[in-house]
Amino acid sequence: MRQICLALPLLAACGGGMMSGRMEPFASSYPDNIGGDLDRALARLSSGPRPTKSAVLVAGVPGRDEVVGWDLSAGRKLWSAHRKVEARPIVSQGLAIFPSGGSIVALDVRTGRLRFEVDSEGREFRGAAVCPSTKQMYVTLGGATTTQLDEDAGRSVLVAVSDTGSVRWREEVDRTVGAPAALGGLVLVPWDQQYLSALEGENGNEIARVRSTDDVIRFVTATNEGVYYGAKGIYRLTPRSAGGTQGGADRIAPDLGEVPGDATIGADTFAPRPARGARDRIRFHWRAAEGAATGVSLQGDAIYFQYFRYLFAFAPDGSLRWVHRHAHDLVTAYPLPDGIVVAGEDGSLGLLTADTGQVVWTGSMGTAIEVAEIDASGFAPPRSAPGEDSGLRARLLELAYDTDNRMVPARQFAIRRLAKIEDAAITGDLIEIASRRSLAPGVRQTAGQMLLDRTTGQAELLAALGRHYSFLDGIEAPPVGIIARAAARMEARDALPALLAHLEDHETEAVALPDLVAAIKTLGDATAAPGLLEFLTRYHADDTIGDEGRSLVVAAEAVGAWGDEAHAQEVARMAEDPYTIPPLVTPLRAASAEILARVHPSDTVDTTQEQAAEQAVEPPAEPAIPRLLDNPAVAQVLGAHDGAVRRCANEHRGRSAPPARLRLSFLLMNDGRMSNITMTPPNDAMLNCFKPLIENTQFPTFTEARQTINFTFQVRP
Amino acid sequence: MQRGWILLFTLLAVPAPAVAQGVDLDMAAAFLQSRDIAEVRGGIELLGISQDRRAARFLAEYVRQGPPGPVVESVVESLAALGQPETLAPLMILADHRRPGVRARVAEALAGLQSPEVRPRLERMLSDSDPAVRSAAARGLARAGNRDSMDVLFRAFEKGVAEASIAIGEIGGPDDADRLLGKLGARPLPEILPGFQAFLNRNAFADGAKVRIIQRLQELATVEVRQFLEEWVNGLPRNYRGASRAAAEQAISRIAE
Repeated sequence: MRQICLALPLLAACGGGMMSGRMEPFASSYPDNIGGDLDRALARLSSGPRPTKSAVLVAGVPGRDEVVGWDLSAGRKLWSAHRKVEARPIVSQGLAIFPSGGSIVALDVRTGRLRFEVDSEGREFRGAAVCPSTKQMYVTLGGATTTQLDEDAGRSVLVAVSDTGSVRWREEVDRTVGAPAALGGLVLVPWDQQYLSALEGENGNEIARVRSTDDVIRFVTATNEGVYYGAKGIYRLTPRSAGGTQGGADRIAPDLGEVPGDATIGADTFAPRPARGARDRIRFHWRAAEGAATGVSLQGDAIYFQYFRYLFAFAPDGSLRWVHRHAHDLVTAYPLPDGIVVAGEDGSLGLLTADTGQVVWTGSMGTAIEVAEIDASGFAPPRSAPGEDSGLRARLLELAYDTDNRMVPARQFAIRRLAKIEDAAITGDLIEIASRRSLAPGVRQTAGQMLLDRTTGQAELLAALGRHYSFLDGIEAPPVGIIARAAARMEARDALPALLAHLEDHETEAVALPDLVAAIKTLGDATAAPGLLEFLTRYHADDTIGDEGRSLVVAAEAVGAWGDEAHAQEVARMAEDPYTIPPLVTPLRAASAEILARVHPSDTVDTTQEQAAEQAVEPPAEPAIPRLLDNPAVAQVLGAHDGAVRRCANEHRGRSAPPARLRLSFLLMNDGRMSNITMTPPNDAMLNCFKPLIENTQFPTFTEARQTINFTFQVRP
Repeated sequence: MQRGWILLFTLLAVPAPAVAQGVDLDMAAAFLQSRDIAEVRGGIELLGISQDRRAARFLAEYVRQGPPGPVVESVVESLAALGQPETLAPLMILADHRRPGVRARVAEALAGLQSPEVRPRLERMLSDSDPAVRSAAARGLARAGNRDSMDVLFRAFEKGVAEASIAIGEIGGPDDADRLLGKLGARPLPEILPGFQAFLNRNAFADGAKVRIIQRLQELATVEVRQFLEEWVNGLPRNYRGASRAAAEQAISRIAE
């Protein structure tokens, strides 16, 4: 076999070289998207043996420098080796390949015996592949790990290793080169984010290059079904790839929405191959299938997204088919034509059906595992009959209510997907999630956001609004603010009484009040005015609502729009209340004016006309009587007694110094009478000295019945 | 110091009847409109100590108009001090106030009023989100003394409202004592013992029922029970020689230290 593989590339290399000349790989002068080059490479790729099928799992054992091989079909351990697995292994053509102790190790996947190891040169391991034809292994190494590289060292190294472990050639380039794929005597590598090159396996000569002009290329994989590459989408390498564009190529790129984490459908092989961690546990699984002449077909017609314990199955059009929650974090998975094999970190194994995600086979390795890879291409376990399918809604709710807060981003994703289901009952589900205080805030918040976009489920909204907090009954308050906003968007006028009831309920969270009052204003009419006025009256001078005081402003606006004359009087009273919270004063005045203008339109004078009239005729100079005396008016009158008060203070100071300031307080009636004259600090003798002066003082008139006067005399400088 | 405070301190220095006679209600009511919040508070307190029905009406109108946040609790205290039927309406309004402290004081104030509206309101307040309000409502129901509240008090007790157990002990009958005994093991002992203490402290509660409580507690034979019974016996009048004392002393002697 090896001899054949050696001969074929040489023949083909001659052909390629004649057309475009012998070029060093990754050279910038090499022509890309040349149809003839690509056709010849494709011919090479379709010739020769296909990848062998197997049913094996290779995994590192947590806490021990141990790697195990597991026979999926026989359900038994094949071998165990004392090796630390430093990144997710690669299972390819009978080898298990992984970095370990400064080397790239290749073990026999059936026996665990060391076949060979290659120096990793102090570089990170990006990936490896074994050619089914030549059994030659290709390894891509990246930037430095622990040791410093020479200044002139290239960013990437591509190494070709024979099946005996000797290096056939080594290409070090100042390019970013990704993990390789190998087939038909060629090695394919993505590089610099937009190129895919096919190199001769024999000598590393480049024979074809695809450049994407409108997309990113970060991975390439070779399977029995062909060669696939891409990043956000999956391209099949065909003659149409020479077009270099998304539109002209055989490609699928399902719109999956914002999946949690930063995983893309195609793995980013420019980064080091993942070790145990989020990059390993958050990833996509898919495998190409034989399909139509154009496009891309997938095993099970599905793309799977793994997020720690969860597995989401999408149809190629991006629609969510099912979700699965595993008891433990998933370590790896492998799609089959009718399902997907999964392995959990507890060593559990399972086969889920591609169409419903139901478990039809289970197994156990009997030991915990961490980074692992499966080749289940030759695995066909007996399937048991699936149980009753609980359906997508129930399964998404299962994730939403999961208590694992590490999974919050995926649970939020599940809720967003739940909200896409056109069923009025989903509105109720979202309300329930948003209400559940035991859930993570982010989860509740997402449910609330999704609720706003619902167009169905008014009955569910009303039912939720009918619920009020009760400690004894164990009833949580619904997310009133969000429901109110949703009700307003749905124009659910039937919700008005329930919204008003929540406005009255002190258990309604203050943070919900602005949305609640705004919804009442949107949906309401004059019948809502008394309830809003009651709210305004109760809290117009109380800052207990805090930052949500704008709800009072909106309430004032609504009362202004609907109120009657009695309401106007009440609103005007609050506007002049000295304790009314300042931002509310102007809206209250405006509301009162608005009501009066509506109730007595004839009394309303056009401001422009009034101003014009004022300019034409000088109004009679009658001094207006103030409602209450202001500070300057009081000071003008009492200031006249300054000297007398100072004299009294000195005369009656006793042995101590006279007070620096003396504060006088009394109640003044609008007919000039006064009572309850007190002074601070208290001193009866001092007070009696100047009290007659005060009692005989003539104050200007004012309209209110009485006024409290406070005035401070400066006795000493 | 503001005038209202001066007046208040002056009035508090004289005996209560004189206080009632000495308050100028119009002046106190005028203080409610002051721009000085200390004077407002002084006016509220003057009205509270006036023992005059008109003061309740002034405060009711003040509540209707929406008092400033810092004095709302003072208003409730004055309404409670007046304790007149006219205070029911403003207290009912304030029972739904957003300030938990106000609601808790309202619960205490309502308990002093004789009205069929009080009990249902206090029972509702047992469902308040604020623990202090729930506790005050339970105490209020005990003070109201209506055994019709027993079911809701038991529910509150089961939900961890500690004061509910005391309320049960203060107003419950022998059947309720048995019911509370049934909760032994289901709720922590420190939550239940105050309820039994309330039963045992009642002179009018049948001695036979007290003996039943003591004997049931004796079966638990814990240090806490022994300590509880010792404290109860020590608090009894020296000359009291009822069956319950004998039962308690016997239980104490049988529970190992």
